[in-house]
Amino acid sequence: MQRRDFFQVKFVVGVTCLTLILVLAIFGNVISGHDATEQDLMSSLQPPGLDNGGYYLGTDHLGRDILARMASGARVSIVIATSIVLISGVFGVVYGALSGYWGGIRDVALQKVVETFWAFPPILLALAILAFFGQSLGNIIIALAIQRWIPYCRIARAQAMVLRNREFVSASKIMGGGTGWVVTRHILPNVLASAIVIATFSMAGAILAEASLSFLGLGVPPEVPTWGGMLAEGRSYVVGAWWIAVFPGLGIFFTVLGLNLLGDWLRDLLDPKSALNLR
Amino acid sequence: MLRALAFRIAGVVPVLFLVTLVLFLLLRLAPGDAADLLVPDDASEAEILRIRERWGLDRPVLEQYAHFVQNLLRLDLGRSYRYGADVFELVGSRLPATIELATLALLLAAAIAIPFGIIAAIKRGSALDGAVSVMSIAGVSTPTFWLGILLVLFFSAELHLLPSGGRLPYGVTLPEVTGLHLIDAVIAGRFDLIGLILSQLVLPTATLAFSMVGIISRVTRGAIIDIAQEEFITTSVAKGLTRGAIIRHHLLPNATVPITTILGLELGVLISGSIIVEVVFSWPGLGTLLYQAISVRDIPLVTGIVVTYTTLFIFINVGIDLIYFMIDPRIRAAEGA
Repeated sequence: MQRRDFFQVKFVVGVTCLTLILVLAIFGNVISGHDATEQDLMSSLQPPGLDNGGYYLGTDHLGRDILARMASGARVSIVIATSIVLISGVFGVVYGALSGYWGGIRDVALQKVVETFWAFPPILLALAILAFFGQSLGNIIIALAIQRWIPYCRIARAQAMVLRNREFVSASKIMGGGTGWVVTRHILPNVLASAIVIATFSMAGAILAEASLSFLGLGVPPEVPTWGGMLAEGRSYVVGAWWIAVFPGLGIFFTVLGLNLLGDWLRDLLDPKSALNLR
Repeated sequence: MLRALAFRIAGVVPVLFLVTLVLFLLLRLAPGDAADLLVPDDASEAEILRIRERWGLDRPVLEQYAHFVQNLLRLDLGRSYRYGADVFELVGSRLPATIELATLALLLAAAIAIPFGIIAAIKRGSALDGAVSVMSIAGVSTPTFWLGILLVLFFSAELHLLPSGGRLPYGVTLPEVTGLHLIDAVIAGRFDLIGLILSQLVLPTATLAFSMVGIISRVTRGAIIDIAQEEFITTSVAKGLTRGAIIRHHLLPNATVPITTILGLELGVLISGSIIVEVVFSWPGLGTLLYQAISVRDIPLVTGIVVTYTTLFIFINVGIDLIYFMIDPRIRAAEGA
């Protein structure tokens, strides 16, 4: 009984966090009434409050509205992380499914590539790519997707190797199903559940990574407000103006927390065995 | 056993080659002429020619790659154009600071997390068990740079208890032997400096350790619970061993393999995690060097640092395998040693 309750807590807290962030992303600018990039030097470093000219979460050193910037940051994070997860997920699943389904020498070669990308410490390859190719939205997405496809590839390959020898797959082949047919009809559907669990955790990781890059000034161009960028820019002003550091950090924290909780909940739901192990 | 070990170590060579190949391809695919990438913007014609020669850019691609690998094997990537110093000398001078920080962070995290994990497993469902679950999720959800800033805001700016960054206070010097300040202070007999060095280390180490505590305690807990369900534990209960004896002689030794695994994995994660913590705390390690190198697009230096980090990462993974060999006779047996 206790276990059931725990699942519910994860789900409720996770969904609440993510709903809050989505509301912020969609309605943040409406609530605030200020523009994210509009400067108002006369009211710089305003503390949060209800009676300070509509700057509910305060302003930064250039008098820009924190709430409006938070909303913009939420949108940037969501768009970038979603693109990364979609690209790496689709690529990883297809790559792994083909590798496992083919087997033999093609599998060995494809797995050598996986091994190579996996040999780089996390984030480092992303940093190298941004250093060599320069910063742009596309490069950030590529840089952060370049290692994220591997977990999908692993489970898809393992699943494909098991399914390859099952009767229904052989039957499908005998009836004339080609590689494309068998993979899309029989292997991918069996990988989907695990892929969704990985995607949820991966999205959390992608949001953290994007925020880290923006914090280092290696993310999206500095004129676009992001949570990481807000923290980096406001760093020298946080003494005496805590709200500059606290709110963007909370934005990242609640998004990542919500995704991690939801991922945990999904994993327990789809794989009761792992839930038993963890309890 | 030795044969299996040699096999594992030899397996590193092809991976390292493939890693250099990826880096080389990235360098080649980068927009613009590779020579332009490798020199500062204000370089003279002669300088560009010299760089072409050094990296073999005037020769066919395959030869260029051979040249690149050769330069790497000789630890010769030329000079960093931001610092004017030899790339690998710079790397060498910054590496100890990173190793000191990462090692202490891992030790701190393990010292907190493993006991908590064990207690949480033994007292399943207790308040402490719940706290471990919450900590592990909160730990992986907190951006380290944010935590670092908040810690500085509280402990340095507000309470004036701890320094906000750097390795040594301004004006304090320490003769460097190993580059690891704690050890250097002992060698130099400057025991008075140890307190200072530790106070500089507290915040960055704690920041870096925070995210790991949750994961390590959760894995420890899971491992102990798994083992507790095995039949030999039932047997030892049946033959009348005390609870303490079962934990000490049966549960803990068997949990060492999964715990080592997660510690090793976290050490790898630490490598990249330390980059951002170093930047937040102006810690003069490899991470800050990489950050500075990237911000001025000092490509030879970036390449050198990436190669160094990756090599370290690969050898850490081999090291973990070697530790398995030492601690678990079953793995030795399975490898046909």
